[in-house]
Amino acid sequence: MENILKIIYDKTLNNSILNLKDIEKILELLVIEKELNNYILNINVQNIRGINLASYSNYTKKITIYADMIHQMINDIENSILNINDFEITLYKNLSILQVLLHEIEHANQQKIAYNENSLEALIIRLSYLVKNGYDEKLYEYCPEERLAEIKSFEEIISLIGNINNKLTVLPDIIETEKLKRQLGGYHYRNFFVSVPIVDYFTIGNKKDLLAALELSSNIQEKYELNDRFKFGFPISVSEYSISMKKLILSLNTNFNNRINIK
Amino acid sequence: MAVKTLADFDNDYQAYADYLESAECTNDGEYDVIADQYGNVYTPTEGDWTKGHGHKNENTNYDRPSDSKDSYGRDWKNPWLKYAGKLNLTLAEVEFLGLLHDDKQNNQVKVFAKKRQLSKKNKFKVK
Repeated sequence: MENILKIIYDKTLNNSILNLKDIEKILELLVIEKELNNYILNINVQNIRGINLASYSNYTKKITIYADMIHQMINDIENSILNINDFEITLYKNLSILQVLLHEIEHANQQKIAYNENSLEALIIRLSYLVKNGYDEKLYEYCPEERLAEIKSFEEIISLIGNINNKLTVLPDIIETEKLKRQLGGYHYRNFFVSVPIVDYFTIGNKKDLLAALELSSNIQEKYELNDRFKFGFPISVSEYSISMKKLILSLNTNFNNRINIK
Repeated sequence: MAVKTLADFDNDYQAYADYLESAECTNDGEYDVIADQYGNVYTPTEGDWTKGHGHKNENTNYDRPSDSKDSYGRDWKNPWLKYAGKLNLTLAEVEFLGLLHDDKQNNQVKVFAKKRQLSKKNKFKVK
């Protein structure tokens, strides 16, 4: 990952945003490093405006990047971020593009994990494949594959910028906030309870029976650390939700303008 | 026969996942019919899911024979990264988190929430 950090860092020093050539180079390096040659066969860039930043097809093994949406994301960062110097703004924009790439790479990696690793994560991914969520937008925030790809990609970025933390002031906190936002994705407070993303996913996806395979017993909070429960969309307590969500909101309000939407 | 658990596979997650995806598991669960949210209804061939399954769509009246090659395996889907720059909160969450009464929070949150409340009240009155 150090060579990817170098590409991003050098670009940022020149006050430049990653271009298509850089994106292809980074994807190539990630495929080699994560040994995903059998899972990513093609990269495609499209200028379509919609709601998608990028996608990965398990069937064609192709990553598609939607350039217009990436551009919109960069503009949004420019317009919403507060109290940060120019170098860190540019770095944040470039790291946000990297996160999109890491997210799609993780979907390819999930294919590898699902059929090669003997782990709880592999089981969850395979169960998730059994839900046909392609047509149901509301399932997105609960989908274990999507949540895992988001959280793991931010974990990688946190680890990556650990190498240059001494050069940064507020960006590490902002990236932590981004990760926390993804960790809390799919959890909602309703009628004195906090909903459970993995339960909502299989329930709405009409595969509630599969939940039995996950053994979500009452002692789950003792069995798994909070970070693991966040990652897998397992139950969290009302106080864990409250503390984490308040931390997230405080950080969003400190570092951004207009990043909270009340429905 | 009852559906097996992870313990039956000595905590071998891969073997367990293979089983859960299999027709054997569907037989063990004694399912006669499986329906999904898209109106697809599946039935086993001769009462045995290992022999494939038929498909009937109640919405379109489309029928697929049980010996169709599509009666085996499963569909792949296309994971996508949806752009969501903002954190979405419901009014109940805003109230629970005490954002309306916490001076440390940004005024914007309070203003948004109050506007939403007012607009909802007004809509109710109009109706």
